[in-house]
Amino acid sequence: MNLTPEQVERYSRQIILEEVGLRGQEKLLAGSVLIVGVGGLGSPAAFYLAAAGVGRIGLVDFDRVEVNNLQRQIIHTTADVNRLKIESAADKMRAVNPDVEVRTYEKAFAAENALELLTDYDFVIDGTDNFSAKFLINDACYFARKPFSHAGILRFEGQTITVLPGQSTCYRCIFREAPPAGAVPSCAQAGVLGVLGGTLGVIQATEALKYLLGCGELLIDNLLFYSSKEMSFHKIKTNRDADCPICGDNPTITALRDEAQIICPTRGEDSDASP
Amino acid sequence: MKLKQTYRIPENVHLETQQHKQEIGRYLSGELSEEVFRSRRVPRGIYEQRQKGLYMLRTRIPGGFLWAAQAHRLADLSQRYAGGNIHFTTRQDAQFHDVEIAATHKIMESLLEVGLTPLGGGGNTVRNITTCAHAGIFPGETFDTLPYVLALTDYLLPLKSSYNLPRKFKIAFSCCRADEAMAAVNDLGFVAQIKGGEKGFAVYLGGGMGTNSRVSDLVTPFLPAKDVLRMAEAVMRVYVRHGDRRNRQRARLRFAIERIGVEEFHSELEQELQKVFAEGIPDTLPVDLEKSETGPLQHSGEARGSSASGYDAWMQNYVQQQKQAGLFYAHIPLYRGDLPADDLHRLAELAEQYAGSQLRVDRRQNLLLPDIPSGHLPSVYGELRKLAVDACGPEGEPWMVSCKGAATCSLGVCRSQDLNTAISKAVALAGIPAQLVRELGIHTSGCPNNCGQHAMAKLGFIGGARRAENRSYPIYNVVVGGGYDGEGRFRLSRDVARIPARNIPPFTVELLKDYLSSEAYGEGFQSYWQSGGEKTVLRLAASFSEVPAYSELPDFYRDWGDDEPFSLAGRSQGECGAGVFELIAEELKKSEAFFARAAEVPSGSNENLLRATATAAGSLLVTRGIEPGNPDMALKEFERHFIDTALAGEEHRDLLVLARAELRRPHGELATRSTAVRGFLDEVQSLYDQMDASLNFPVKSERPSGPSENGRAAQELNLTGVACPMNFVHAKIALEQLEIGDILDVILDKGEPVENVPASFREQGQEVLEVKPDGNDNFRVRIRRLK
Repeated sequence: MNLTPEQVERYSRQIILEEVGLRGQEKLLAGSVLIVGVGGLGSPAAFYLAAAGVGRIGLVDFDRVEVNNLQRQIIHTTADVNRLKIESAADKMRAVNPDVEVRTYEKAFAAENALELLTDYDFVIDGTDNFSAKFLINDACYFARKPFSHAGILRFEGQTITVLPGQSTCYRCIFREAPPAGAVPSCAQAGVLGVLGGTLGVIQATEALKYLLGCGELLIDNLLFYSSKEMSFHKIKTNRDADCPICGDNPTITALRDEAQIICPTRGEDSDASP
Repeated sequence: MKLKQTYRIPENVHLETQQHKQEIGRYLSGELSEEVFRSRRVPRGIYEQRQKGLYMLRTRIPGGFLWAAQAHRLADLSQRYAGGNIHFTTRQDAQFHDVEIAATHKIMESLLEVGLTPLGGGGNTVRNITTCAHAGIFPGETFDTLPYVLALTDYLLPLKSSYNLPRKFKIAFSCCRADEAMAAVNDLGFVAQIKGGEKGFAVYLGGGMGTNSRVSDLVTPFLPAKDVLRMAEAVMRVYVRHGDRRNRQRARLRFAIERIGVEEFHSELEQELQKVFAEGIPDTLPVDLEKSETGPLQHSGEARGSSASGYDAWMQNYVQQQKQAGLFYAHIPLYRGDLPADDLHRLAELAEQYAGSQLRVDRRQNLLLPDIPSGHLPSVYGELRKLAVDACGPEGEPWMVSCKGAATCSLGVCRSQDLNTAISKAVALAGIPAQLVRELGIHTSGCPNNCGQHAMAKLGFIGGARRAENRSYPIYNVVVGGGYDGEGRFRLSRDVARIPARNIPPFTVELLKDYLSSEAYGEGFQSYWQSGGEKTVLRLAASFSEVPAYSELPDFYRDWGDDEPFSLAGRSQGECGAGVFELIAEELKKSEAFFARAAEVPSGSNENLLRATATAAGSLLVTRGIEPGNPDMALKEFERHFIDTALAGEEHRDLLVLARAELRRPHGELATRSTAVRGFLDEVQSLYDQMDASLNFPVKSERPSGPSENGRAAQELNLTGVACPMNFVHAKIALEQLEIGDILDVILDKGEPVENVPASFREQGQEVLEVKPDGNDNFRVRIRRLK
């Protein structure tokens, strides 16, 4: 692959990096990332991955932009209200970087289409806001052996972990299954500081870039907690669980299924990519 | 603490001790995996026990010689960290059991203060060098061999090669005929000889007792004593060259000798010896301990009598006159080699107060108390009676040898120590004198690994297991007839029968009775064996071989000393010699299995070729201290550490890149590249084959090494007029398109560009060969791609 002079110029500040260089940039341009949910987390991730020159980025979401999204879903503008989020986001990404092929999927990420959606991508970013979608992404990525970055945000806190399915601790190793409805405050009850999506979403994008480049240490087997109030990061060491229902020694989950959804009560309150 | 120095503790032993401390921390924090940590701790004499999380630490005691102060320290450490018990081994080591991993380094550090170390206590190392416990004091010895043991220990301890041999390496010295057999079952044996008034050794090579026991070959009937270091050095070098590190079961010296032939091996050794002489390896300077300030106290005639009860029996059974007139040594029989720390303290005090301030560990796992002046014998007897162990008792068990057996050893099948106890009791109950047990010196091993030295036994037992009615039961193979024939030849014991564990004690009783009543009694067991004893053994064995049904006699399905039904659960692969070579060999085996499966199952071909590639790539990373957490990292790190450094061929880079792409998104492309995968596996295997003891690899000779000689003609890139940092970006892209080793000339503007660009390349690990003016205020910068 030969870079055009425009590309050399565009990516020069990362080509300079010892770990990137020409080869690294080529890897990024040949790489692909699927972003499930173009909301608080997905917006900044999509922006930065497009800017960095990730060759193909897929966006999965069927929601439309609402005014209350704009406080944190920074890829959308006031003029985009009522547009499909995937279209609003794709426009901005293409405007930032015409090198990037943006594919849009106006659908829910569901058991019936999950594996098909993952097929064409190297890495997955979970930008969803509900447990059922997060477990579905974990399970689908396990079956497809796709690495993914999980993140969640609530009030002033966020958490994230990267999963290499079958090799590192998975989401179910840690959380097993979705909590019963009402056990965890929803976004509507708790609210969220808009910048949280930026902090965590950009960490997810960072993991995607590191994975594509093959440099640094991925955030595997460590759950990272961020507290914006304390302005602190804590890494908690995690281990694969031999009893994990999906990646353990005797898995009980052998096929994908949609779990009863634990809803973030007001639909459209945050991006929602599950049914 | 002031100690007469026996051998020096070199710097590397201190460093290794420090490193152990750090690695415990890294292991506990999860940074070091179980496997890597094991490969580090085992050569330090630290093994995990059958009980998970508890460790055994084995410290070497060269020649079995302990100053009283050292014995006190062993006792202290055992009380603090190891449950207050010390275990002595047949190779004259001391073992701490049930130690927490965090305490192992504390023990190591503390031992260093008294000149002891567990380094080389396990793994593929030169193990403790042994000699007869009575060296220097036995009236019948040829000469004192202990000074040579210490000199050789002193020489080998600092050598890096002592810690990375193909397999463990055992050296023994015999000072007398009585112990000559041991030279036959060590890798390197020195038997003291005097020729024309000069001290020297008959040298034996390639003995060993484990599976495939072998009696050693005589290399030379007389090696002048001053050449001991040179001989050891030469043998180890030839061994390193020919040892089969890939097959742990066939890695000991004896297998190397069998493989290339005894004569061939000896002639190569002869050549190596010439080289060693030429290199100036020093003469062996015996370490003379007789000049010790804490030496013999008084030399006064005959042994003194005492009216204390049992004193005469003790004198007869346990005390022997030394070659130094007026001095005596006492055998301190231990129960299975175990001694409570309190007793060890008392023995050390005894040695200080009444004898020569020293103790010896003998190969039967008992102790010797040397240098007792005759006048002190009654006091010594009185003190010995106060010990918790029965140091003066009538039973024969102290003269029997056993390994630790299945009670603690993860390799053990049967509880060998408990069998010896049962035999000893049965024999005593039958009224057979302990003397007879002492003469035979029954040897028992809990499994075929021979830690109980059954291969040299006149009578020995090897633990095993059989099944009947779907139940396992313990069984022993009976071996007979091992030892030294008194004429320079060694015999291995022969396996003659198989008897259930429960029947071994009555079998032994009947056998001893028959021996006692035979005409051959008095001429030795060998004579009995040849004059009809063999038939008796076979007849007895047959009558004791039957295993009754479980419902009838469930005892047959339990081992001695165990209330639970007999089971092999808990037995595991041994940790002995766990090392880097084994780790790699295992991974390569897995890789080949994936490769084979790829050919067998076409539908899984891509996946299996990917696994084969990643496993092979990951296998060698342990040599670089890297633990690939996942296949992607294995491929990436292999590229960095082996291809970028030109150890492996550049042609494999594409495969690794492709494999990483397949990891991310399988396209099935590897399935069409099985030839490339085969080539890569062969490359890794060949690297492994060429890996030396220091885990280094030969650099490929065809690699370009000099800029002008081998590098291709320099490419040129004119970057005048291009500002920072874009000039560096363009130069970097141009360099990346060249092969490693190739040269790029960049023309740069003066000022900022020529100041920054070469520095940036250096920072990123490339080689800047020269920066010179190029007319027109420009500079020519010559860069070689290193990575």
